[in-house]
Amino acid sequence: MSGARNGLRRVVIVAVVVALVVLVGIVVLDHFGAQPQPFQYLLH
Amino acid sequence: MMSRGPSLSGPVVAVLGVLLALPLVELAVRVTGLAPDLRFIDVTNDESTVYRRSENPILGFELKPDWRDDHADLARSYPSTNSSGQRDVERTLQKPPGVTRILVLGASVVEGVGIRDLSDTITQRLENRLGSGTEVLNFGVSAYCTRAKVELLRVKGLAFDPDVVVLFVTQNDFRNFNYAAFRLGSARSRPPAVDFAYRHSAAFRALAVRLDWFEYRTDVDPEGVNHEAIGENNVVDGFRLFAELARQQGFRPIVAIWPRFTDDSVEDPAPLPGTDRLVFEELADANGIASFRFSPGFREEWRLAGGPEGARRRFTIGDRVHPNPYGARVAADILAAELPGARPVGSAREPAPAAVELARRLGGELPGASGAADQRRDVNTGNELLAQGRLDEAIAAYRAAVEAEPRLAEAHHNLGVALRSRGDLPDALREFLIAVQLEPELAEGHRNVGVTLLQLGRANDARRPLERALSLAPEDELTRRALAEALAASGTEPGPADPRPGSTR
Repeated sequence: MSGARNGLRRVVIVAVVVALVVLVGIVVLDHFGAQPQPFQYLLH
Repeated sequence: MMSRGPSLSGPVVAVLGVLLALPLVELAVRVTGLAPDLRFIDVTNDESTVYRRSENPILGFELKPDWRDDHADLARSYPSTNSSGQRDVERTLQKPPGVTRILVLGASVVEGVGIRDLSDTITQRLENRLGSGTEVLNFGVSAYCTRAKVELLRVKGLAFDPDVVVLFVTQNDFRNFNYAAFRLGSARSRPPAVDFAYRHSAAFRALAVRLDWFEYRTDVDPEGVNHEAIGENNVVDGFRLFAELARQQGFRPIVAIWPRFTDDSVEDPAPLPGTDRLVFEELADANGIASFRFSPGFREEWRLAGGPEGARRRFTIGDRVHPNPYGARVAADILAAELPGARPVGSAREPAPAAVELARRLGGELPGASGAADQRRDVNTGNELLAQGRLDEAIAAYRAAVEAEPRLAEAHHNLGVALRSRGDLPDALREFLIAVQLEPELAEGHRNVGVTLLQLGRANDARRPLERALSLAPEDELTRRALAEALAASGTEPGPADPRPGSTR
């Protein structure tokens, strides 16, 4: 059981690290002006 | 080993970790608002317009080949294009023996906005005037700036082996992007799964627009991408490339300067202060290219004709720029007289710094010249302020957007929403009306015209715009309810909805 729990913990750690890398990547890209300025389009 | 339970191997942990990361990123992007709002991207070609997105970022859009439309409105659509995607008669790629080819680059003036019969366009008039042995190819595409016109020559026109290339230029050439007056579909057809991911995943959207996956960035901000590709001084760059191509290919280039027609004058574009020259003339001369103005010929024709009619009405379709069939005929006569002036490209020199600087400055002054990004930013700021209930500030942001770019239907529409929220119904109505005038197929705009009229107690007047909104968006529940209310208030029972999907006006 502890092996499974350990495995699960590793999965969660990998998931959090991957998610953080992606989010930080987006913020860094925006810092360099990568975010386009689309119309947020029509309001209702 | 079994006593410690099953253990996960490294690759399995990695795969499961990434899979678990997906919903985490999705959640985080949604919470932080890092993804752009889903803007519907029409991945199919819009069948109502002759234009389509181009995969060439400098062109931005282009004419569809083999287009046929018996009910063309002469702005979004023309009766026909040829198989190579020009508003012209059919041409063979191979130049027929003994034929001289004149290729005419331009924007809407050459393309023939407002002219129904192909035979009335400037190029066809010129071809008929010059007689057999000469072909005059129409390479006009509405809204192209100089750099895009020359790009079209480079990627398509040179294959037709022209002997002479005429480059029409107008004041609008200084704008450093090709102004698309209406929405176009995407140049890209993507796998359905990718479009599904774009529509349903904020995380995918956030990354796709930033990293330009499957060219989503281009679809979200086509003018911005076009502007990036074209640069900050397209006329200067375009003339240089024009001369370079002439040198490489051996055609004779000539720049034809198109004027603006007011009621009491024919005005040349972009005079160079302190001189009697135009910016276009200085740039052409510096690149060793011949140039001429249409204005003296038009003034002479106008003088000879006499009568009270102003130049605008006499020569244009009424908008001061685009020739009517008579204006096109006069233009063809002037062009025919000036054509012998086209000579092999001469030696180049540095253009006068004042001309380069003025060209750059004019690019920043034209409506929408900043690539529309500033206006979009204002619209987006307005939307955010409105969401926070900061009405007056939102209205100020929208007003900044419409002042900078009066043709931005979305800005007018959203300004209307903000004004209505403040209870300013007459002004809101005005903005909604402007929005639908600018974009006649804006269902939300027609609905808001109707709803605002209802709020003003004009139920009878509200019916037509609401019916129009419903014809454009038959499933829209808000429109259905508003129409039912309008019909009830004006004493008519609601009938079955009339979807009329094909109706456009």
